[in-house]
Amino acid sequence: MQLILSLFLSLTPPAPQDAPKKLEVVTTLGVLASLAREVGGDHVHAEALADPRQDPHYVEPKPTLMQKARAADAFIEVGLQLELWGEKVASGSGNPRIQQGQPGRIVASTGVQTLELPAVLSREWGDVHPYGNPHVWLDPLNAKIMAGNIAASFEKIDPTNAEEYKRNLEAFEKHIDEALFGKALVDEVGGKQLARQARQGRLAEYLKQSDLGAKLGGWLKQAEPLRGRPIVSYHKSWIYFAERFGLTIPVEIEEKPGISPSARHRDQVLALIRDQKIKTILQEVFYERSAADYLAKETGAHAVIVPLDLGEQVEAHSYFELIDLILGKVLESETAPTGTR
Amino acid sequence: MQVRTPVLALAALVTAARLPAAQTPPQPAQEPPKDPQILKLDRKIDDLNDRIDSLEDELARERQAHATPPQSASAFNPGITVFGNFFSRWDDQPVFLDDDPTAARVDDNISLREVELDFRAAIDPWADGVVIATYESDVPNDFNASIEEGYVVLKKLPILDSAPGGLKVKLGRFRPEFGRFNYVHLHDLPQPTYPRALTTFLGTEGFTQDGVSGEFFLPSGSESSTLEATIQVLDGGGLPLAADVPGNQVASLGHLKWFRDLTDSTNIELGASGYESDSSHQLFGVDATYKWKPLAGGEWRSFLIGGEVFASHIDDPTLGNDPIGYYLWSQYQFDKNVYLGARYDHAEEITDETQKTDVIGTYLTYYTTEFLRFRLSLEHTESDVAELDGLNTAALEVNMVFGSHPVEPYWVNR
Repeated sequence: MQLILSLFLSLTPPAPQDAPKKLEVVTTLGVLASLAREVGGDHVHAEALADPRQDPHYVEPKPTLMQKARAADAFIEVGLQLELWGEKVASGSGNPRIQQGQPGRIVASTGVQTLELPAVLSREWGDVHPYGNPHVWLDPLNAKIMAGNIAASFEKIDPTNAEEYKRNLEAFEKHIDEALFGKALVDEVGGKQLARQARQGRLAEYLKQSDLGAKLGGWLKQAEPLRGRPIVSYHKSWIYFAERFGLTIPVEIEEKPGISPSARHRDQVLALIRDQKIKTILQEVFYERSAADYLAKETGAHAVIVPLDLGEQVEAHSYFELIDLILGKVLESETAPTGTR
Repeated sequence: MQVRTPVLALAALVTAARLPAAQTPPQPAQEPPKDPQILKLDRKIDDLNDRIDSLEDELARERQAHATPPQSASAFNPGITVFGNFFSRWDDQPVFLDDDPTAARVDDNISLREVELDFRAAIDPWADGVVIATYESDVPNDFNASIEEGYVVLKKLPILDSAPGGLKVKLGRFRPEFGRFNYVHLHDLPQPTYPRALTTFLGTEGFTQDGVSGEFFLPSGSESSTLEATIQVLDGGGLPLAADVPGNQVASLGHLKWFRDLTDSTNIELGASGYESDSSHQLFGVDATYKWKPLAGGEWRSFLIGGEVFASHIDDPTLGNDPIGYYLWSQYQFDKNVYLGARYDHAEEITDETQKTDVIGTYLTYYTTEFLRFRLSLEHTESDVAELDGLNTAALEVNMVFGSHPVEPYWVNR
């Protein structure tokens, strides 16, 4: 009995040292690690559990992931039942700081207004998410809310650096506003006003009435050729991105969320691509691409394969690079003649 | 009338004088003067805008809160999942329950083999609770109800802020951590039946026992590998090789699992298990599983190969002389929903190690989703047990899952 007790005690994490210690943060997705680094600065070491080449819905909760979460001060997830595997990792880690309800368990999507909230919950509709579509981070305005939630939690877990987390959050929010609307417009009107107009879908009207259209810059200026353009996506991952940048998605290649397309459904998508002269088939890197390639070959549309998360393993290493990458690829597809890419 | 004429004339003159002025083109807009009053109003507008911002943020949060399903006392009810497993078999010779020719015949039948009700919820900040009730039918239309598992998991210890080694304590009735497949429930197996070696040494439905379990991480020396240990103290008996051991004779079980990520898409798991009822009734096992599942397209392609060996140490005149058993299995995923697998089993009878049975089988599995599975299988048996020798069996298994779907990695997602 004494032997077992001494073995357990030898496995207890060492007592906190006097030297400043970084907050150890594990996140389900790379995008959350990026936001944690933005608001945490030098006080945080953040590591993502999922690889950005993986489907974030289905990550194997391996013991190595549980081990990474074992010593974490905080565990950040998107929530909205996107990462069901995250709970298995957190509980398997045996780390009491990151269990549900603890300050170290951070649900980044809290307060985000979700889209596609189901009126009826049934598996008949495929892999529906009861709290709405969870791919919220692909709207930069939602990224600000998520960063705000992360900063607020860091302030609770590590109050000695609270002021710095606040400052970092403000800097990140300003950076997002400038990247989205352009610096000149943000300097003149302010990010809050612009964000409000954009959320309410009145930004174009507001800029016209205020004679500020010429000052629009950033991603929204780049996205002007996309406004009103229909695209096709594989999964319902892109609705937040589409809404922010003015795209429409009349159909998905998947018949229902999580359900592979039947030949009949694929033919319906093909007819719709031809009918609406759709040029872009937007698909995540982790899905099998034969259906997208077939549709591209038959219609001349372009299969645009991009990551929806970021990390060392893909071309996007920060939140800003991720939006740059996706927007750039869609623009490239939409401005190129059909069948040329 | 005389008096009013000059007044009207004056009014007409004034009107005439004003008309041309009204028609004059507007002058270019002048920069509004920065009147202190206007500056004050500007500041007020900014303040109001800020208030609108915060109110809209609050409204968004409220909308989100109201968008979630209504919370009531029923929110504390456990998550409930129902598993139903149908099994139809066609055999070319009579098959008896437990290979006993005096027992009921179970060949050529269609049956609802098992229904499981899985209840789980957080009990309080310290613990989670799980109860799994099972209705199983070894013979069609004859159901036995039992509690397959019912335990509490202590997530943290009141005496320590952080459990050593991520210690997780489980108390109650559970499937002990012996080998690779024993803790996997029937509905979650990658094959339609438990391997012959497993049923020989751990029981026809696998090994379930009451007891206490502690699971913790040991230092592995590498970020890409883990070493997990499980120590369990169990009620005595329950295993075929310890069937006559009384329940009050406590048994112990240890399991060590080493897991390593070999590459981004491959990993290996090695396990060693030991069970002791007393020095005359011991069971040992080793298991290995290799897995390939690419990161991109991993839902469409995967490959697994594994095996497990059971070796007993028995000093009991009513049982055989240290019988052994093993199985090898493999599975390849061709598409998002289609898996093809094969398994080879070898087992010596617990009561007579000279009586050997070998089974070879192949399985084709189709998932509509992770909640509904169809599986066809073919098996051929060669055995020293006369009732089994030469048996050929074809089977169709249908498995359904509905309910709140606990966060467990089903095989389809592994």
